[in-house]
Amino acid sequence: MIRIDLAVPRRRERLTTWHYLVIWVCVFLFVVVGAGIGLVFQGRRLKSIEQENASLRATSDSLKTQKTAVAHYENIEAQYRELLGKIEDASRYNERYLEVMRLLDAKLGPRMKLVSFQIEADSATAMVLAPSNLEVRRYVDALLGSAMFELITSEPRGSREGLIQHRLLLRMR
Amino acid sequence: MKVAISVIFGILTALVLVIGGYLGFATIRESKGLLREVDSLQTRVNSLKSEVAGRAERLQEEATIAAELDSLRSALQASEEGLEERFTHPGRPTSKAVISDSQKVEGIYPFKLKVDGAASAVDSFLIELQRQVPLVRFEKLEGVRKGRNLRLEATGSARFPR
Repeated sequence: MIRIDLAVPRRRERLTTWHYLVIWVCVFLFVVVGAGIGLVFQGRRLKSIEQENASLRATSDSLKTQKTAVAHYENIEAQYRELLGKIEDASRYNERYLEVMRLLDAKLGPRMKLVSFQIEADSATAMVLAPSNLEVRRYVDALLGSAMFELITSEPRGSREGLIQHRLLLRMR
Repeated sequence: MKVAISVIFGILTALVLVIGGYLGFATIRESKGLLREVDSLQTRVNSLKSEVAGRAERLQEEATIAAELDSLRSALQASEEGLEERFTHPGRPTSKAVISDSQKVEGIYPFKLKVDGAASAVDSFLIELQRQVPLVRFEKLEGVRKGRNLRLEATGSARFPR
């Protein structure tokens, strides 16, 4: 039996070594370029973040300095206000004493005399001489009218120089 | 030969990928760290801005306030150093003072003051004393009138800040 092979012998297409080398070089270059571009972008982004960071750090430092300066100023201001407050407080406190002293004198009626007085933080006593109890009443009313006192009691303490002596107890507001 | 090329370039490509990947991840990690830092800095800056806002303008007054504070302190110091002279008055009204310095360390000087003169002059003397020794505080005023004259005994203390 005769067998005839009708198949056309085909030339097998095989990559040559050169092709192989070129393909690998291309792959290698592609990977290198891709990685390089990626790294460059990442580097730029990193640099921009670093710049932002540095700028924020500088702002923060400047604000911290400003805050320290503000705290220093406020400390000085607080000391100044405190000292001023103490002086004003002492002045107001003493003014009450002087005001009471002046009022005891100023509200005296005709022929009335202030003999002595004692003024403390919330009360005062005064010894006065008056021609009549009515004059003392008027004196007490005048003192109450000043709104510095909330209660005044008067006690007659005999007579002196032909006038009635009264001891007044005043409670201050 | 082909195998050798494949092996060499395969290794080179893999190396590039590994190095690139390592560098990429390192950069990403560093970026993340920096971004966290940026966030925290931004928060701190915002908080500092809100703390300083409206107060920084007042810094211009600092020199004035500091000068006034210095002047006030000097006046008080001078007042404390010359306390005796400020309480006593040789003319009219006459005044005598006993000032205790037992609490000098705390800046407290209890005093007993006697003033004798015309009532209006005594009043003026006390006002001037208050001006000269701004931190003086009366505790008790006892007065005896003799005609137009007033004999006043005042007790109190002068308190200087420490």
